Amino acid sequence: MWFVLLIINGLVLGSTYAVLAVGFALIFSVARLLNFAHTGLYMLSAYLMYIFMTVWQMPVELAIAAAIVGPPVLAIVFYKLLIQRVKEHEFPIIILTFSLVWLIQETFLISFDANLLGIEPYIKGFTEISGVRVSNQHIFAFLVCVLVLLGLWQLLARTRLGNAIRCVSQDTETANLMGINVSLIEMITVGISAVLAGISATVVAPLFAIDPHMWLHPLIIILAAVVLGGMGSLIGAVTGAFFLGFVEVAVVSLIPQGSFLRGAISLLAMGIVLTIRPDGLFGVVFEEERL
Amino acid sequence: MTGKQFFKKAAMLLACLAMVGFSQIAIPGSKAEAVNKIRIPVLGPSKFYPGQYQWNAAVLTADLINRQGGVNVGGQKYMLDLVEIDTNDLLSVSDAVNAMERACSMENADFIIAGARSEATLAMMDIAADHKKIYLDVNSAHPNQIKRVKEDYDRYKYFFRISTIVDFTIISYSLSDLDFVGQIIKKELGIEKVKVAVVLDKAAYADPLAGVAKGMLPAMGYELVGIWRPSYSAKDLFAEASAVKTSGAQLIWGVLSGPSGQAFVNAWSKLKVPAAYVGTVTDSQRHAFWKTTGGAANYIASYDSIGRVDQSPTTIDFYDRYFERFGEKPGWGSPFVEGALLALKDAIERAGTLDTEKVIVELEKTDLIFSNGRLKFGAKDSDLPHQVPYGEGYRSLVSFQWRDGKQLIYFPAAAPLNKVIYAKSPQSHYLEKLKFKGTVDYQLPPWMVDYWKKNQ
Repeated sequence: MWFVLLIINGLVLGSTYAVLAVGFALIFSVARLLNFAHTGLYMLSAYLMYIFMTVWQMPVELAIAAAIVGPPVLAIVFYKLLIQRVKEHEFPIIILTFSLVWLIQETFLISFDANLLGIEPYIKGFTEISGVRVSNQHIFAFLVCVLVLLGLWQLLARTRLGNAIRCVSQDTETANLMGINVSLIEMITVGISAVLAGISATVVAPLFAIDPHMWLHPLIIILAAVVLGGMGSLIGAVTGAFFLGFVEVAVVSLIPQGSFLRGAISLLAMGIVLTIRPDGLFGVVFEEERL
Repeated sequence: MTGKQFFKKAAMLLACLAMVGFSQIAIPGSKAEAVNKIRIPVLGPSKFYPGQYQWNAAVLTADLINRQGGVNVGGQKYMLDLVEIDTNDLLSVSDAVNAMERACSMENADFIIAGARSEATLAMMDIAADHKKIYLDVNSAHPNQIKRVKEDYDRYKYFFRISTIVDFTIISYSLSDLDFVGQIIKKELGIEKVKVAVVLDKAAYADPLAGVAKGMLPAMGYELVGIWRPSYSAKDLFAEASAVKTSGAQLIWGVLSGPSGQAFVNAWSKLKVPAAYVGTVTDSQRHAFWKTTGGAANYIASYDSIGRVDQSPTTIDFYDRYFERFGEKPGWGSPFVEGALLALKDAIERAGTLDTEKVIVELEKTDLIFSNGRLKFGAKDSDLPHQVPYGEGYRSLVSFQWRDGKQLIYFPAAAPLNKVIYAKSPQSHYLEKLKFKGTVDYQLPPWMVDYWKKNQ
């Protein structure tokens, strides 16, 4: 039964990390942006869910819509006004994106204090699988993750937009020469990435406590997932996320007294993998040119 | 004198009169300000509810003292002047240390009241000792602080603690609470050997409890199926809750004071883990916890420092005044802050001075009633110097269970003490005689009863 517990809970936890990680990896692979505000947008979505559902008592569908639309609007505005001007410089981007997440954090800290808030799950109950209980909200999160990843794969593989995104991610200069509007593609990718952060929040916010510092832990995890999977690889980011999810669940199940170390051990496991494969599991090599 | 010269002289005269007038407006130290003040910074994590509970109680008590005439210091009236300082200790120990430094130096504190995590308190004690400021602790619980007072009295004599200490009196309270519920499980579900899962914050104050669990629970007749130590600030404990369910536990002994508490309650409720939760979830002491968790707190039990019962002759009055003013029940640290201010007032008035050394001598003689019970600091040569004890003749915790949006006190219930606990802590026998008016019966979560009736 412990093995079943490990598989099921690992899949569930991994899926929640995967949706976040793939958005982060997408924007890095296309726009070469290390967007440290990605989990800040995830936090923004969670708070929007809280405000719509709990404070304003709006229907859950409206809350989900707001939580998915809000982050891309902010992300695109921020990108157009600030990031686009400095995108050829790595460190200003890091500082600017950190500033954005800090701004979001402090806004919510002032508005709601640091006390934990919660949203009632809109998918209630639990399911027992081989003696292991999983909440239905978690199962929903897993299914959404699978659908999102499938949808993203379809978008990238079978649409003109996806084609353009892949071209820009492979070789920006040549894509530009081929008539692809690189700026527009990058902006669209920023929007898609933010939508993914929003979707992730809508499915997991009812499961976790919401507070102004909730962006930090997932940021560390998705950075680790992306590095483990190989910078720039979407499949790698998803694989890395599931790997870390499984390691965390294994720690909790097998070393309960060390469950506070679940995050540290998963990062240690990442480090071990990187010593064997320094480029990550599906490492992608980038050209250095920037536009 | 021409008109121009007249107006010039008039303007200068008016300016002089205005300057004299402004100088009479209350400027600190000026003659216009005749009120003497005792400056007391109140340190706590202001952005979090523990700090808010502490500050609210400080304001409530100080206002009452000031309305009643303030503090009589050698025949002169002094008003309490509180300053709120954010320690942010739940996120950063170094912020808490800086806060204490600020209280001692920039704020010119006469006395300090502070409620921070044990990790932060150890460092803050040193700052207060360096500045020779009396520091009344209203939150930490680790025994090390009191150990320092005992081992190096001259340096740490400034430290007094009104909050709990994780010593065997408190531990035996919690274990008695667990055993009380354990006996109910045995009786109602017919389970001879109840399985217990232990879930403890990974925090300094909870470290001794893991060893206690391993030593005591099997001796008490329980089967210990696992000890989980999630991070103090963990937000997702579904994996832990799932593992507890898989372990087959019927009872959970949980001590969760950080954000991990809400995370665990959330997971426990959503997975309908078929085990009764006993111990503490500090977050659950708030009325707002019910709404925050969307009712997931139903059937969660936790101990608290104060309930609306007659823990002392002044408990219900303090509780009601707090609720009336702030719209929320007093929290864990609230009665301790009330006690701290009352003790200070009492000691200063007996000392007749604000001199630190003399006030320390009088604090050590304090013996008064406050909302939590009897406030008397351990003597400097006792085992627990400068600590207000729990137990018979002093004070008791109360345990409540959330039921349908209400916090109902169910323990102490004048129930027989487990023999193993009694052997280890005979002073805990007061629990066999103690039952506050308004105490109700404990109820097992219905899903737990259903599960174990089908799955035994």
